[in-house]
Amino acid sequence: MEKTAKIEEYFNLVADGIDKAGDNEKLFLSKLVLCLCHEVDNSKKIKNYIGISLEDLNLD
Amino acid sequence: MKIYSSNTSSIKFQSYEPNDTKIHAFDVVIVGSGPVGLTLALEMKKQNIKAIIITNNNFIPDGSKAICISRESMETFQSLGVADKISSIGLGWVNGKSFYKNDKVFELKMPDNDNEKYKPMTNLQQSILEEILIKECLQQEIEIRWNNQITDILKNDNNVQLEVKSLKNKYKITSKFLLAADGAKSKIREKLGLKLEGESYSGNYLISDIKIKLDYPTERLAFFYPSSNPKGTALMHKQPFSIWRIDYSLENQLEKKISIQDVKNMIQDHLNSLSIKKKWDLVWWSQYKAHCLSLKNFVHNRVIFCGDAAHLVPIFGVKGLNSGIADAHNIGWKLPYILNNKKPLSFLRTYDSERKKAITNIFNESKKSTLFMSPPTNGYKLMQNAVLSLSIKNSFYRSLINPRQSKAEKYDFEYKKFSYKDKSNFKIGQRLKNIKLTKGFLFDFIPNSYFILNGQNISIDHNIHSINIRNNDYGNFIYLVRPDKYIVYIWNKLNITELDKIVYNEIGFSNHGKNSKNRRIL
Repeated sequence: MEKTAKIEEYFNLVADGIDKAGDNEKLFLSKLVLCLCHEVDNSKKIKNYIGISLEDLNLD
Repeated sequence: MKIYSSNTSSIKFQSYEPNDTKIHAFDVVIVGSGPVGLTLALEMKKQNIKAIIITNNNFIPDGSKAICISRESMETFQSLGVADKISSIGLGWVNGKSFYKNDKVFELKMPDNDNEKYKPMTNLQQSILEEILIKECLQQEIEIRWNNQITDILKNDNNVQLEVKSLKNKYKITSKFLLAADGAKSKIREKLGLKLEGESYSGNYLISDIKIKLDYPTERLAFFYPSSNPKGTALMHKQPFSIWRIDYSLENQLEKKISIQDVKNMIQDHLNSLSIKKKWDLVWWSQYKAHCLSLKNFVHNRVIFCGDAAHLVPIFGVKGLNSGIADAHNIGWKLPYILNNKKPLSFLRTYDSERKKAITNIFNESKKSTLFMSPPTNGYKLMQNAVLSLSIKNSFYRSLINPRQSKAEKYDFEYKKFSYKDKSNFKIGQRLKNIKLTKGFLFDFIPNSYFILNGQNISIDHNIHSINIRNNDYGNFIYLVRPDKYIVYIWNKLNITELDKIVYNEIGFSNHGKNSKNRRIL
């Protein structure tokens, strides 16, 4: 599968998961993050992605 | 003295009144009659040091307070002659279970096997532990001055001069050392103008003991978000005489002062959530906040701080009482060695450095436990929930639920420059293991002094106490061990010159060339 197609698949999978979690979306996302951290197993990368994700949270 | 009652404060001891006006002189004055002060007194007596206890109580305060005694503390109590009594009443335990709502998410299994003399933990009410220790102190004719308090520290340089108030009189004491074991609200600390430093945590806990007959095993039960406390946690521990400890995090009542009826309601809710319908009585309760606070230094000239007077650690991991007993066991041989001129006064620094490092390690572990047990922010709370929820079916984050129970600390010693080869199961600075022998256990045979544990079938031409041992754990090595069971040095091939140098450094004399008079073969 080419890169764009893969990214589209991840996008859809996570969006679906959030919808399925309903009111528990925060818990769902936290669990997902912990699972992915476990899989990535690289503090430098995880710190970097936390930094990226904290950027531009308040654009209003 | 009525022993092991559930209402210890009903036992009143006779207040001490001085019968003369002269200055009373001692080698050591211990302030505080809690478990640490009493342990210190027994440690001093073991080494024939003239010590007294001064306490502003004339009774044993009611309440279980600290209930979990670690294996290492039991081994210390063994050396003081009280472990059998504690074992005969206490409840040993190894395992624990943690639940997230209704699901089990973690099983605690502490290291244990049939070759251990004591379980990793023994549950016993602090008030009963104090009764046992007081009885032993009185049997050993250790003077306890009940209803007396230090009102002033007049001098603290080459000795300590104290002003003491009894119920009817004031008198003076001079002592070579003062051991301050007067607890979290230490008056000695206050009188020296010292303050604890560190962090306090936001979580607020109700601690209660109830009398109820339940046929559950002795193990640690942790409930995260049970139906009785849907925003917090509850912990349960079994104690002797059908007493159960229930700790309950107060999520909605952080600043509110809770009433006895609130307490009863919370306990009933918790029992209901476990479908327990038996009758129960509230025996004792208190409120608790987690702290990691410590004095910068535990030694201040001739005043030495121990236990809660020196440091406050969170309850998670049960390190409060146990770290105080470890303090007492550390200073308990060092001070007599100084008083008997076997060590210089500067040797007190090693109490400071070893126990400070141990407490720093405990803080590091306890902080992790506290952040998980009592998450201070939304972020931590969300992560805690995520770990618990994942752990229902997956194991990869379960280690975060581990309460990190108390264990013996390793100390740093300074002899690495010699010929030690790192092949033994043990390391320099580690505590010996109380292994099972053909008859009894190793610690049944060790002296109150430095000794050699000889794993080689060779004769060691030295006057230091020596124990020959053939055992797989200790292997084919020779160990030099301190009176508190910590390994000073290990040889795979004994170099008698090194042994001489180290013994000289440690004890201040060397008897190389004289055969051991104190050899024992196990």
